This record gives sequence, C-alpha cells and structure tokens, in this order.
Amino acid sequence: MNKHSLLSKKACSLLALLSLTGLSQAQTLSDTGKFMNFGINELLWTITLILGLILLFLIFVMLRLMKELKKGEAAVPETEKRTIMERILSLRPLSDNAKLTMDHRYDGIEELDNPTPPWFNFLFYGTIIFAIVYMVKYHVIGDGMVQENEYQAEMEEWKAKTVANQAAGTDLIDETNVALVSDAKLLAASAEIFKVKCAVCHGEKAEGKNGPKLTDPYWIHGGELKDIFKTINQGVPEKGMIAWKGILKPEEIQNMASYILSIQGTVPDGVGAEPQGALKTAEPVKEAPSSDTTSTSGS
Amino acid sequence: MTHIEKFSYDNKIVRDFGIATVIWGIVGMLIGLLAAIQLYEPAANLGNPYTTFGRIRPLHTNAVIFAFVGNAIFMGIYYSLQRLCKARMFSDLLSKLHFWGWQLIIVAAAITLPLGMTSSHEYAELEWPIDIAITLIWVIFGWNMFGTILRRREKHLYVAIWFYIATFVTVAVLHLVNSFQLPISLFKSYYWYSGVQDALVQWWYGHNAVAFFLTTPFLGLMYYYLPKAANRPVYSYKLSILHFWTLIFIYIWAGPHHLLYSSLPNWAQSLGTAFSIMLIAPSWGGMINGLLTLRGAWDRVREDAILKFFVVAVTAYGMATLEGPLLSLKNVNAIAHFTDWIVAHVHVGALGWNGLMTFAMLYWLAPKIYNTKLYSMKLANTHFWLATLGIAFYAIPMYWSGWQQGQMWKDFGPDGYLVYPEFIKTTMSILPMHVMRSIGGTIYLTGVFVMAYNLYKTVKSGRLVANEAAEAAPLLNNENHGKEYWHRIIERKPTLMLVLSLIVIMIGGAVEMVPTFLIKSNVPTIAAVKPYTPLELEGRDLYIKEGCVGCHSQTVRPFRSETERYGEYSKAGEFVYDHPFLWGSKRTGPDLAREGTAKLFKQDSWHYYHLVKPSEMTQGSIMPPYPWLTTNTLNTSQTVSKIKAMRTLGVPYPKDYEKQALSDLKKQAEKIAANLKKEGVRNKDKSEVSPDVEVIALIAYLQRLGTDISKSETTNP
Repeated sequence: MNKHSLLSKKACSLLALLSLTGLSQAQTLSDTGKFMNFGINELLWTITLILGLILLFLIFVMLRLMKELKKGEAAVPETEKRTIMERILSLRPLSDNAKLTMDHRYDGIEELDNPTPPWFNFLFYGTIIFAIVYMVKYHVIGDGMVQENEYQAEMEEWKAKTVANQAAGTDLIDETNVALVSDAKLLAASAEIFKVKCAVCHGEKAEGKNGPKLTDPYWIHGGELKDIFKTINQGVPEKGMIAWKGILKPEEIQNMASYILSIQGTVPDGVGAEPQGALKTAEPVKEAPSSDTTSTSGS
Repeated sequence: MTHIEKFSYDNKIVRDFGIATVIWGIVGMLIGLLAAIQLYEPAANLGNPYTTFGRIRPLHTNAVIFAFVGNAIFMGIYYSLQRLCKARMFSDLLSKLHFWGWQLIIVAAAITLPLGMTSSHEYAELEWPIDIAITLIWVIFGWNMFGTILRRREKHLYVAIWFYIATFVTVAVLHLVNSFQLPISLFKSYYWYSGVQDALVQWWYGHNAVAFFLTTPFLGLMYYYLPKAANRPVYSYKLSILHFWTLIFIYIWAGPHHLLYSSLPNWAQSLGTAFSIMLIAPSWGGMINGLLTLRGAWDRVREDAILKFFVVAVTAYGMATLEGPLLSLKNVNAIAHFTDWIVAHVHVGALGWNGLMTFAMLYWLAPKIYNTKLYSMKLANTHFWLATLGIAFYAIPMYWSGWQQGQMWKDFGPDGYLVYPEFIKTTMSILPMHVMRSIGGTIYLTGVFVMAYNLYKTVKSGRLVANEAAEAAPLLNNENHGKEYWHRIIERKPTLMLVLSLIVIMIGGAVEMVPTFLIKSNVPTIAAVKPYTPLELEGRDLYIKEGCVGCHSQTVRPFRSETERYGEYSKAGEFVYDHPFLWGSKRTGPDLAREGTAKLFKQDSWHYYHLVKPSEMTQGSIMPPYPWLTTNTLNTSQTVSKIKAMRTLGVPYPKDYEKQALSDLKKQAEKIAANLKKEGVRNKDKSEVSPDVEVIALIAYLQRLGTDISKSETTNP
C-alpha cells in the first residue's frame, strides 16, 4: 500500500503544479489590465483545455495505478527503491543501466535500451488526437469558424455594441447637434491631437502648410461649428483631407472643431499660408438680422 | 582473421571551422547589437545606407545562422563523423574546398547585403549567384560526408549520423525549391512564385531552415558531444528512433504557422497548427534523451562548465519547442505575431540552444585537438553565467514588450474605438524594453569575448594534433546479423537512410504546396488588381533594397483591431503580381498593405518629408532617415528587362509594353514631382525636387499600396 500512497502523492503534487501555472497565468492577465482583451471565450477555452488535460492526466494515473496494483498482486519485488522523481518520470533505477546497456558502442558512446517513457507516449498520442480533432472540427464537420467567419462574428458583435452605444447617446453627435465645448481641459487634449494628426498639413500653430490656414476668417468649407465638424468628420478626400470618422470619436471631433474656433486670430495676418475660401463674419449681427452678414468684414 | 588498419583523423579542418565559428560569432552578434541599438536610437545607423537597420538585419540573421551556427555545425560534424565512422574524412581537398567556399559565401553575403542586394526572402536573402555557390558547396559537403560514411569501419550508423544525413538532404531540397528565381542582372532577380504561393514557399523554407539548420544538426551533435562530455550512456535508443523519424516527418508540415490569419487558404493554415502541436513530443524526445543521459552525472554539473552549457542549452531547446507550438495556436498567435514576442522566442532558441551548445563543443574540442587542458574552468564558468544572464536580460524584456504591444494594438475602449490609434504610441511604450534587450545582448557578447580569450590561451598552451592516429578493423560484409531490432537494418544502409529521409520530408511539403499552386480556388483572382506601373515596380525594388520589409508588414489580418487601424483585410488575389511577396514578419512600424488608400491617405509631400526625416512627421519615430533617396538618381537601365521578366513570370503586361515603359515611368515621375512642387517641397538647396530621384519611385509605390481593391475610394490625384 506504500506504493499506492506514493502514487497518489505524485498525482497531488502534479495537480498542484498544474493549478499553480493556471493561477499564475490568470495573474499575469489581470496584472496587465488587459484581461478583457483576452476575451471570455478564450478564457473558457483555456480553462476547458486545462481541465481536459487534468482529466486525461488523471485517467493516466488511474491506469498506471491499476497496472502497478496488478503487479503488486503478482508480487514482483523491486530490486531497488526508486526516488520520487524516478517514479514520476517512470524511470528504471540507475543500477539497471548495466542490464540495459546495448551491445554496441560508437567511439565509446554506449546506448541504453530504455523504453520510451509512457508519459512521453501519452503526450505524443494526446497531441495527435488534438491535431485530428482540430482538423475535423474546422474542416470536416465544419462548424465553420475559420478566419473569415470569425471576423464576421467579431464585426457583428461590434455592430450590436454600436447600436447599444448609440442608444446610450455616446455615438450620437453629428453636424446637426454638435455643441461648442469650452472646457479648457478638453481643448488642451484637442491641442495635443492637433499636434500629432493635423499639424502635418495645417502647421504646428494651424498657420497653414499644404492644408489651409485655420486661424484666419477665410473658410473653404464653411467656418461654423457644424461646418468644421462636418469637414473633419467626412474629410475632403479630393484635396487630401481624410475623413476622421472612425479614427477620432464623434466627441473628439466636436472638441477639435471647438478647439479650431478657440484659436481664431492667434496667428497674425501675413504669417503662414495665404487666405483661402470665403470670408466669414465673426459673429452674426444680432440686432440687424436684415443686413447682409456675409459681405461685412469681421472685426 | 581481421587485420587492424591504421589511419588518422583530420583535426586541422575541425580547428579551422572552430576559428571561423568564433570569429563569425563575434561579428554576427556585434551586428545584432548594432541593429538592436537602432531600435531605440536610430542615429546608430551611422548616417549611411550600408549600416541602416533594413540592410543589416538580414546581415545579422545570415551571419548568426549560416556563419556562426553553420561553421559550428561543420566543426562538430567533421570531428564526430570521423570518429563515429572510424575513418578519416573522405577527401582533404573536399574538406578544404568546403571550408574556404563557405567562408567566401559568408564574405559575399557581408558585402552584398549592406549594398542592398537582397531577394528579401527571410534567411535566404542572398542573390542568385551566391545561391548557386551555396548549392555547390553544399554538394561538396554532402559528397565529403557521404564518402566518409561509405568508407566507414563501423557497421551501423550512430543516431548522430542519422541527423546529419537528414540535415544534408533536407537543406538541399529547401534551398533548391526556395531559390527558383529569374535573374534580371548579376545581382537582381525575381522569385518564380508570387504572393500567397511565394509566402508559402518562403515559410516552408524559413520554418524548416530553423528545423534542419538550427535543430537537426544540433540534435545530432548533442547525441555525440553530450554523452562524451558527461561520459554517460545515451538514455534510450528506442526514443532516438522514435523522435528522429517523427521529428523530420512532422517538422516539414508546420511552416504555415508563420502565416496564420493571412490570406493563405484556411486548410493550409490549420495543417500548420495541427502539425505544430504534434511536434511537441518529437522535439521533447531530444530534450528528454539529452537530459536523461546526464542521469548519474548531475553532481558533476556543478563544477563542469561544459555540462552546464549543455544542460541550459537542452532546456532552452525544450522551452523553445514547447513555445513554438503554443504560438501556433491561432488565439495565441493573434496576440504574439508581428511583435517582439517572436524575437524573444527565436533568441531563446538561437542564444540558448545554438549558442550554448556551440560554446560547450568549443570548450570540449579545443583541448582535445590541441592535446592540452582547458586554460581556465573558472573563466568558462564565468562565461556560462554571463551567457545565461544575457539570455534572461534579452528574453524577458522582449516577452514583456511583445505582450504589451500586442495588447495595445488590439485594445478597444468601452466606446469601441482603438485606445491607441496612433501606432507610434505603442512603439514608444516599448522602447525601455528595447534598451534592456541591448544590455542583455551586450552581456551575452561579453561572455563570448571571455570564451575567445580562454580558447586562445588554451590553444597557446598546446599543439594542434593535425592528424590524430587511429586504428580499427575494416568492415566485413558477410556478417550474420541474426535476430535484431528492425531499425538496425536501416542503420547499416546509409543510402537507404538518405532515401527514406528524403521521402519522409517530401510528403508534408508536397501536400501543402501542390494544391496551393495548382488549384485555382486557393487564390481567388480579383479583377481590379492590376500590375504595377514601371515606376511603382522600381519603387518596389527600392523598398526591397532598403529592407523596409524588415519592419513593415504588408498584410492586414482579419481582426477588427486591424481593419479599424489599416482598412479592409488582405485577400489572396491582391498579391498575384507580387514577385516576391512582402508580407514581412515583424511590425516595428505600422502595416503598409493599405498605405495608399483613402483611410491612411498621406500627401506625396508627407511621404517625402517622412522619408527624409521620419521623426519630424511622427514625433518619437524610430525609423531611420533616408536622405540618400532624395539625391540618388533612379537607375532605370533595367526597367525594360524587369517588365519583360515579370511578363515571363505571368504578369499580364500588354504586348510590347516594355517599349513604352520608360516613357510611362517618366510621365508618372513628373506628375509626382509636380505634386511635390505644388505642395511646397524643395531640396535642401531650395531647388525643385527632380523627377528622376529614387524617392519619387518609392512614393509612387507607397501611394499604390492596397488601392486596387478599393479603387472607388482611392484619392491619390
């Protein structure tokens, strides 16, 4: 029965080891704070895989146990006590080497006639079964989750989420309801984005480069908040201005349009690019709605 | 009655390959260090094209794989083969030809790669004349080896020799199939294959170059040097047989795991994954047989640096060969591919397995052939710790960096937008790890210098036994073998072994490649995809010459995180005119497959400024500046032959198109130059940008990328 307890000990220690690796993996995942990225499906999949491996391992231990017990009944005495490590790895004791040495040597190198360790075969057969199941699952039975379908599923999941987001109102800003933002923090964030994404064409200070100057009162596509929003959102592809929809969030585009308006007049006339487009008045004249606002010069 | 024959072993050739191993090892690692530093300090390119990352990255990989590891293989084989066959090498002349031929090839590589002469296939960058030289030298090596085997005085072939034979025959097949090129001139050629098919051939080759140049020969060497150094019997003969045949059979199939989530047909990708998983046990068979051979010698590992090197080398092999299959699982690959994770993975293999095995052999061999003792076991132990620490300092930051950047690329905020839409943010976040990596590399390299000193002192204290006397009985053919294990029959028939190995390794490659080449449905054509214009073609060749593919991939994978960032995912039909394919294997910079589309649109002037000084257009960019592109005149002397060659390869240029190719090229170049002028670009001396400089062609190519299937949204004027 000593044998029995040793075997169960070895099973326990290996189980502990397995669960430890599992735990440490979960730990790394949560450490990076990217747990969600890994996806709940992958997580379940991994857990199933680990559990499956443990189950296979247990079956293996059981089989070994039964074999050992049978041997025990046949009362085959062990010539030498093996270390726990040797038992775990199912190795013959070192003292058996003399018996196992084969009758050839190459430049003095001897070879032993040890059988391939059973756990090695077990691992090999396991991977072969995995490979067969893998091929059958993807290409014979065809649950069809090959990459194109996987992508489609990902996109559909996203679309469903978008609808939910829109219902929650975060995605609903467009040129019809865009509002002027004056929060200094948000404008500063926009200034940062401007430097990275817009300065390439419009200049570091929006003074204009290949793209037009954005601080003068001349506008090619309209200088109202909603016009600027629309220009950023949809771009002017034929002129090289890309559509930022999908790259910047609607909210960010709203902030950016507000930021552009907040820097009006910060670059003196004559510096940067020549004025382009139509002149826009600074403010619609409230008290004189009848006057022609587009022809009066801005202050 | 048998008489004993007297003969001698050639140790001089072993010594020569040993010296070459050390020298090229140092060279290869120094170049690696230079490349590593450029990945956080671009100015380390020394301001000229020849030492810029794109060109020295292939130099580093070639130097380490074929010069350092290659010479180590030949050193190890030339010593062990003679003793295992109880025969001198077949021909001293062939040995010499092999040695000097191989060194010449390395020198040719060291000259041509910095000059930008590259075929762009990873680990096979050398141009066609050098490919032919490699073939010749490889035949000489095989001839010499097989001649020795046929003249052996030992009936059966030891397991080490099985691995040598499989190495020889497989590398020959890999090299031949992957070198089908149509020469344009002495140092320029186009691959026969294109797009998806070219990718499959390349990664069938690339993966199996790892298998049959970095793995099987070293397993063979392990089977000789490890039991020798430990003075212990090999653990299991049966395991050797099992893992040898399964390893070489299964390895060949696994190449497509380098192309997961690409436009390679799904069935081929899945085969890559399935066979990679099945590869775990055969690989581990080698590790187990190595480590268990040390049973009873573990007490000596504490003092003996050589055994220590073996233990860590074999363990690194085991780790890398478990990690490889795991990286082939699609969900792991989705995160790790194109990141530094892969760089960490290959360096655990190269620094750990190949490096430490080589050091162990050198330490063991040098005193043997110089009939002396190792100068200092203490220094060897110091080297061991420097090497092990170096690997840790290299690999850990790279794993970290790979994981982090992989996650950042895929990170979506709760609002459904990419958290890091600017690629540069993800790059900047991993630069500290790049610094750490170069420190790790420096530590490892320091160890190699310590070894070089130790070996020098050892050699000085002894005298080369150029011809080591030996004696053995000749082989008798009329022996009765009686009852024996079935495999023993193959072991005494080297030709049968060669043929069987050849058959076994041909199966996987054939099953994967033949259908991909012959069955149309595997590469669905897209009508909108048209051949490159002459200017774009020249620009593409510049892209290849500068090694842009070393940092920029050209294939968008079917993930929302990638289609949001780059646009529509890549389709097989888009690459049919790409000789060679340029998908790349690493994204140090962003993917360029859709660079010309509206989504990623940049003006010609943006590209111009960016190529001249990347950090000006993208703050924090680690891309090196390419000012020479704006002054070098585009060489159009081969444009006509390039068009003709492409037509030969099946690219449908209209009949006689080559006659108008140059004028078309000029027209397009003038258009781009005019754009640049309009957008205010001037040379340093305020002159206008000429239409015949190289940068114009490169801009034309970049603006074309990915536009074919989205013609309607193309905005390039």
